Amino acid sequence: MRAPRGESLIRLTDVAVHLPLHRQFARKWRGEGPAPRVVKALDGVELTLQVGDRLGILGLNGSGKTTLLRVMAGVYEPTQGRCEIRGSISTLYDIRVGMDKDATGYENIFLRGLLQGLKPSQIRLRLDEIVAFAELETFLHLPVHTYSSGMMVRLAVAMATTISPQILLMDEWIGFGDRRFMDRVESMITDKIDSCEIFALASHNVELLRETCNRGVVLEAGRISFLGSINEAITHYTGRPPGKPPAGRRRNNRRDD
Amino acid sequence: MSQQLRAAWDDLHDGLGLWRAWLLFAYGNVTRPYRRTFIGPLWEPIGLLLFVLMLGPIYSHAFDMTVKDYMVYLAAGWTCWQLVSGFISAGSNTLVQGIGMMQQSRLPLSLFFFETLMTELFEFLMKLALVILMILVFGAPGGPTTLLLLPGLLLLLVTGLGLIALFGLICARYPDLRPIVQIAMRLAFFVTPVLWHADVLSSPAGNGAMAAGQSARTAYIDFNPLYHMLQLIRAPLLNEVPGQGSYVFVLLLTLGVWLLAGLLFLRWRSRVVYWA
Repeated sequence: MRAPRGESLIRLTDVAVHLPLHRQFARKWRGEGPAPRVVKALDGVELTLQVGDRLGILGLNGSGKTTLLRVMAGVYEPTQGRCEIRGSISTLYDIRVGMDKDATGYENIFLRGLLQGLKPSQIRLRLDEIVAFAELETFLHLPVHTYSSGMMVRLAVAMATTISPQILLMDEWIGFGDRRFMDRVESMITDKIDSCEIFALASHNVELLRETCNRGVVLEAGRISFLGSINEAITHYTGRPPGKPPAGRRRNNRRDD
Repeated sequence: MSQQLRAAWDDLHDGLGLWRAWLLFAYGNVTRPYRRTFIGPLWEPIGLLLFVLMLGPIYSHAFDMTVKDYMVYLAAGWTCWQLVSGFISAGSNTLVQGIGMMQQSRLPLSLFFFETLMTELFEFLMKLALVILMILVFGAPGGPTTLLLLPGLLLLLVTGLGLIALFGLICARYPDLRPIVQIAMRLAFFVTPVLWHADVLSSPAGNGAMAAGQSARTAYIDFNPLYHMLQLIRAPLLNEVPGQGSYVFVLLLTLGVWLLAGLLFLRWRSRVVYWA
């Protein structure tokens, strides 16, 4: 997974992810009738990201955006096809997960660093920078449950970028905190986006995607329906009359949500 | 298959490499329930002490032992039982609880196995300190035999890692097994000699009918893997040498558990994260 600076890469070859549904027996017992055995969350995905690529991921709910991000992070090993990942990865999916609310901000930063394979000395070396960056000086040694949501967001971003990752993956722009905090968080995140080699963001906010990304992919029911520049992708995504389902292939295996 | 083997090996290797993380996690698991308390996880041995002081006078009478002997027996037995049964009951939760974290970033499964193993070990060591204190205070016999605790504990940690992985994997795959395992462990406590002494099963002067009943009863012990695991560490604490049979039993058990856990690990390693 390690790669020298400037050589990170994500290559998905004919990737399919079929999520298993295991509660067949319980369904039968309750007389709910047979259900599909798998949900096809992704199917036939071909995608290569190289240094400098900033990918915006578009699609309706349940179209596979989160699944795609998880494959790119190496969390989901594809059930079919191959996913090659080179470079250090950091993810910012759900800031509430992976944080111990009873532990202090310092402990959380430390723990995440250790999970990323850093040595304590390496973490301490970066700590000052992280703390100054997140503006958490006075709160660093207080438990995280005393933090405001804005502070929590800044801590999460600081944690995710401790290792200055080559690849940064985000699911939805983190959107809470007051106006001043949001500006601060946004400038913080854009800073980090600039310094990583590959960036991918799944979001419904097309203006944000236009600002931060240069490439765009549109997912429909687990398949890539468009891949190109971000502006073209946005046109493809929003270019149909509002309220109408996406044109083209419709599959019956879409998750309801 | 060789690719799966390679990936499983990498998982173990990466998991070991994160030793700082799982040590810190385990430390957190032990201290978290006692956050903001004055004496912290020391409440754990204090709870055990109260338990032993309450039960000692009553049960010692029932089992015809002196109060002191019974209290040491019970404290040692309870401490060791918690470790041995903890491998299984905590093991059954380990992956289920870790899935949230696994979905956030790529983590080796073995990280969670090591974390659980260390959590159980830390809790054991805290209570062990009290048991040793009791042995010293009560002047219970101790000597070179007590040192047999170390090889026993080492072997049990190997068995424990296998058990944690085995139960972690099957309980992640079949969620209904989790409550079943918890219930089974509660029952196992009563059929394993922890509160009572194994000797009570062998009646001193038996006639024919008694002898038949006796062999049926001792089967509860002879074929009880938890009893043999328990004996490896409890017997040395009571200044007794664990039976040779117990060592053989646990060695064979370890082999079986590792084989089974290894097969399931190869098969399911990449799938566990899908079972949220």
